[in-house]
Amino acid sequence: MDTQMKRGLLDILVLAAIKGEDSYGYKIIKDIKPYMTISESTLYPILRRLEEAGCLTVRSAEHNGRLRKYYHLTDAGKKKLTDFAEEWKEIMEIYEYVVREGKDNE
Amino acid sequence: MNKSEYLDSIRSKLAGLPEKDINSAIEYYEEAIEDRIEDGLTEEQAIKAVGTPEEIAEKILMDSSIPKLITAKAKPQRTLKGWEIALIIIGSPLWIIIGACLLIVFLSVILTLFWVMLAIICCVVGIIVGSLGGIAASIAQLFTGGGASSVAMLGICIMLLGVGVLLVVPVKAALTGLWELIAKFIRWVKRKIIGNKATKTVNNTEVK
Repeated sequence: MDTQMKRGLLDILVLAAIKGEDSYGYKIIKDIKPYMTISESTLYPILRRLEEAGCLTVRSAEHNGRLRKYYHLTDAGKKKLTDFAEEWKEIMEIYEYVVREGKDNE
Repeated sequence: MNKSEYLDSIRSKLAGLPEKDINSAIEYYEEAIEDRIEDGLTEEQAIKAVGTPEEIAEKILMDSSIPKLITAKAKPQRTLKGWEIALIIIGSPLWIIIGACLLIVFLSVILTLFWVMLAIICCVVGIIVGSLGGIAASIAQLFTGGGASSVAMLGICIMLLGVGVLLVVPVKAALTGLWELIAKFIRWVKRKIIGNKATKTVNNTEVK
């Protein structure tokens, strides 16, 4: 996949992974693995960037006698997800068209 | 390499960045290892799964702002000896000028790209607004008895409007392209700044 596109999609995948309930780094990686395999070193800057952009908030909670950071989706993050879904409706229409044209030419 | 050696290695590669950034990264990677151990991996396997300190540090550095990188790079990794400080002060007229020149070149490149974007936008907006004005003016002229020349002007203005509208799509693509060019340039500059640091640290620290 095109790197520029992958970068944008990764942000969305990470936001989607914390949509249901707050999640932590390792779980996010495992949850999005069926769609995209990423390493911790890729996830960390994404989480920081999303936090700076106000799309998620971080809180530390105790887990097994140590602290773990949980990420929570904000309203701005939710808006990013709905915007993405809207945008992709248009892209899907184009996709249908492209696929159909391809078949006609065969 | 055990966990604390691993985390120390990351810390040393980030040296010079704000303490807050370094601690946040260390906490994050410590948690990443702990979570994997909890999942059944040994400490060594967990470290291997999380990644090498080199790639971790590089990703963090590439994501830091240019001013932060320059500060990190300029900050001495050890206390300087007296003669070194003296040399820096004596040489200061020279390196301040060199630094300023580099900064000016950097800003010029970015500003130039921005102005090109602005100029393109102005052209298209100019064409559209101008043609709309022309259409209105020539219609008004028709009613006040302008005759053939007003009809001709109306036609030309409508054509111009069409050209303007047609230009919107390619211009949008050009603007996205330029925007990406700016992003690419910034990434290139960052890589130049990180450069020596990243290559310098690739040695025997690879996780076996």
